[in-house]
Amino acid sequence: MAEPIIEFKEVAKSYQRGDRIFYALRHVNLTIHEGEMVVILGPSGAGKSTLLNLLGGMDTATEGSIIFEGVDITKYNDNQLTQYRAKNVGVVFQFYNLIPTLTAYENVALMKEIEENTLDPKKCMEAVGLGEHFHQFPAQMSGGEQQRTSIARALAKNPKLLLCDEPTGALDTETGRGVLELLQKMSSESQHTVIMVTHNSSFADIANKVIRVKNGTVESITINQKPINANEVSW
Amino acid sequence: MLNRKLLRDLLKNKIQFISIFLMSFLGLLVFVGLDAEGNGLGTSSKSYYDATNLADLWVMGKGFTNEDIRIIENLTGVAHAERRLQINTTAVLENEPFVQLNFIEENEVSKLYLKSGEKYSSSSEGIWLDELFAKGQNLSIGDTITLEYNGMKITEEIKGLIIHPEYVFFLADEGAMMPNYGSYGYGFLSSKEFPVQNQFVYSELLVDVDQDVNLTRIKDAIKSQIDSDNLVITDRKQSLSYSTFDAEKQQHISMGFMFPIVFLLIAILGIVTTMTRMTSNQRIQIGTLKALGFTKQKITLHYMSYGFAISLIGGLMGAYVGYSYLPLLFRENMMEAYTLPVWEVSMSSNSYIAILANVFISTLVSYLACQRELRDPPATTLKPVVPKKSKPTFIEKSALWNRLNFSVKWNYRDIIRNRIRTLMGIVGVIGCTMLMVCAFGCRDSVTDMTSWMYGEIMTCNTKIIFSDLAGDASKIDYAKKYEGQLIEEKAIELAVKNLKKTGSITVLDKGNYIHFQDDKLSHINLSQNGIALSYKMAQNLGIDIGDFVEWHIVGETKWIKSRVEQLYRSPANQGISMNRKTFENLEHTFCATALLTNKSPETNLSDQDEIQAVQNINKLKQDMDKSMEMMNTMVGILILAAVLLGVVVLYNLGVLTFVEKTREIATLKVLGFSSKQIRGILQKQNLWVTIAGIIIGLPIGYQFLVVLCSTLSESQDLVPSVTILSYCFSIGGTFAVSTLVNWLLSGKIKTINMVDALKGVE
Repeated sequence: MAEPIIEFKEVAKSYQRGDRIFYALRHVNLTIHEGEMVVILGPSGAGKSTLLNLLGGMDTATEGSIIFEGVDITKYNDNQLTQYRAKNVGVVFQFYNLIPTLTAYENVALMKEIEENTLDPKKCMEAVGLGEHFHQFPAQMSGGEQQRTSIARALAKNPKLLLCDEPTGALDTETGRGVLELLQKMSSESQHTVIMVTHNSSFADIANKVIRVKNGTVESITINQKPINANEVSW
Repeated sequence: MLNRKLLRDLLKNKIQFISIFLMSFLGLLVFVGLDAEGNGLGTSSKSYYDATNLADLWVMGKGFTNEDIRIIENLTGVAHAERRLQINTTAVLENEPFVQLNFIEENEVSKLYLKSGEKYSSSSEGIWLDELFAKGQNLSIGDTITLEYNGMKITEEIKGLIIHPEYVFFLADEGAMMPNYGSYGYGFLSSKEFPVQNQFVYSELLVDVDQDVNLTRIKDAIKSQIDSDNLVITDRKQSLSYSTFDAEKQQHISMGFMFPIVFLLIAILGIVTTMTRMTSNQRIQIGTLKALGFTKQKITLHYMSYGFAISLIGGLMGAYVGYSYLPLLFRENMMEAYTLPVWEVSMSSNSYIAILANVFISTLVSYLACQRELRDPPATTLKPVVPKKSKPTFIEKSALWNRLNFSVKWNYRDIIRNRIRTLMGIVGVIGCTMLMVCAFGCRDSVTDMTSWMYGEIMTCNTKIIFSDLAGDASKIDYAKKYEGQLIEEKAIELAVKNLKKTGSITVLDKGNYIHFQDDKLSHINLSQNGIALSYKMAQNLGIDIGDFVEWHIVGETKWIKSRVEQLYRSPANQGISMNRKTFENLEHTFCATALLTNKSPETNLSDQDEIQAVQNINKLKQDMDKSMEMMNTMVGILILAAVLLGVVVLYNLGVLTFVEKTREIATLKVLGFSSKQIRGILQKQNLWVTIAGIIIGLPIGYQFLVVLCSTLSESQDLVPSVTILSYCFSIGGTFAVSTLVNWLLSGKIKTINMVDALKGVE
């Protein structure tokens, strides 16, 4: 087994609501290894989005420590977190979040502005199967094409963590399956660590590791010895 | 319930609505303020003129009899006529101040306005003295004052302090440009008080006519009925006091017209951008309302009430504040230049029209904005709008495009897709730069005028003005003694066809103290055989070089028709100039009225009977600099307006971009862009808009100044000028405003929560 890439130790996230303290997450312990395909599963409000935000350095934990490659990122300040996101994390959003005034190619090439060692945007586009849509604006593309662009953008940074928030949430089954297949390929062939958040339990079968979240705690962590191919998933 | 939605929407978009509110507020503040002030000048002066029954016509001649009065009063349309003698005296006080004395017969036309003391009656003895002069010379009721006229001494007890409708604006001499009340004055007394009664003649007739009679007809009738061949008849428009004040009033009103247009234009652009953004954001809401069964009218009315409410509240508050406070800013300076018993403030119908127009246009724009979303059936409106396909512009197709960095591309496309919003920003910056150029330019122009008048056109140190007692021989002696230049300055009347204007004539003897400049301000020599006409007078008469003008000296009958050989520019005295030789060739006798010199006169020179006054040019310069204080107030108001305009427009633009881009900014943050990088991207657009606005605003500001200068009074010729330093200040000022706004906005980027990027589209 490879080295752990990221580790949560007794992590909690709480909010002050008037006099009361509300916990979005508590006592979370988990370990994710390099090259794994992880699915975080849970109903809405369970805390899976909070978990993803903490993984991506978009939010800070209130308790515990998050160790990324041996360094505790909960101690990071704003600038360091920005650096962390820029260097290590790629995010695929449910609603794609492409910059509407940039073409598909420009959205991917955008990554050059923050990271010098980016992959060639053209290769990334090809890797997601978008050769001919280089110069379309997001509004002129289908949902699937937009999501592929979004994945290509995330890949361009060659991130250590590829975080996906309901990546098929806005897509039809057929298109969604294509996106899942692509993500699975990223993990198995290119050794990217892919972490996907979803409420759809059918996706559990395609992962190496399934983390089930409920009421702000980790309910179970299961290892899938033989994940199925994404094109066999149905929902 | 929709009203509750209205309130909450207003709160949610408070920055945009506040900025529209501010633009409506500022636009009407300036408009109504200046209108109420200018119109107030009109009503105050009108009630003053009505109460004192200011004469409608002044007839000047050699001496009028009771018979003349009878003839004139018998003319149809004439209500009353009375006689008077006006003489220029010097008071036996320190500095020998100039006092214009009026010996009056009755007190029915151009009546005295009593400020304190005894009421005037034709039987009373004593003098009624100019209130400001009394104050300036520390005189009070009961004191005696002695005045000298041609060696004659007139000593009188001061019975009352007055102001007079013919002295609303009053200069000590034709060459002065700004009044300095208190250092000279006027007095009124009964004709019985003239010390040598057998020398007394009435040289002036004041005529009061009925309302709405044709003045030209009465003038002609008087000329044909009175048996005298050297009558000069002037009306109110030809009197310095009346016309100067009238021009001042006009100037205030026209200023009030020009500036608010900028603000109102921006208010409208602001409403267009905000309302279209809001209605397109609420597209699905509109669809829902329709699907729920709300009528089109009801929804339209709802969206119209945004524009209506904001512009109504903003406009009314602006009008109130402008009406109450803006006139006060001018008051002190106005009181230094003009004398009126009361200073009223009153709105003209233009103010009401402006308030209504503002509300109407704002409401109309809101109406049009929501119609766009209401056109489609609810089924279509319930779905999000399909974005327009935009064709790539030529820049995007060019090879250069791919080499541009992200922030340039992003901002370029953002501008292309939000043209109206960008236009609003640019217009705002243009307005800001323009107002600054105008403000600094006004100051430059007036500063320039002082050095132009007393540095380039008149280059002597001292002007010695002769009294009527000085003979030709002694004038020549003075000229030799002071190595000076003799000049003759007289009032003239000019005519082209039926158009008559009063002006002055300057005749130059040998010497080199008065210089002439053509319309491009380069030096010219007076031609040897023709007359030169001042540029502003030529404009007023509508003629040019080569045309003919008829003129005569006031008090003389001979009209002369002359060809205009040259035009020259002159800041203050408008009329004609010529050499002594030319003047004598026209069969006039040269009779010097003043001597220009660079030698310092003896201190007691003005005591001589032959000398009426000795003017120190430096003193005149200082008087003129006083008028700069008024200018500084104006400059201050304009710059304040410019800064407010710039801040509000750029901030609104920034916030609009910001609000629309919240999701994109959050995404960029998640992707790893630092706040600093994002700030740089957003500020770039602001910077472009600022630069574009400045580039367009500078020449427009200059043009604006040209218009402003040309709307000044008929007698003043102001050359618009803007120094390089002023341009620099305007550019620097606009950038300062832009930087301030960037600083205000940059704090907001930190407040954006990245997690929002992960949420669904609202």
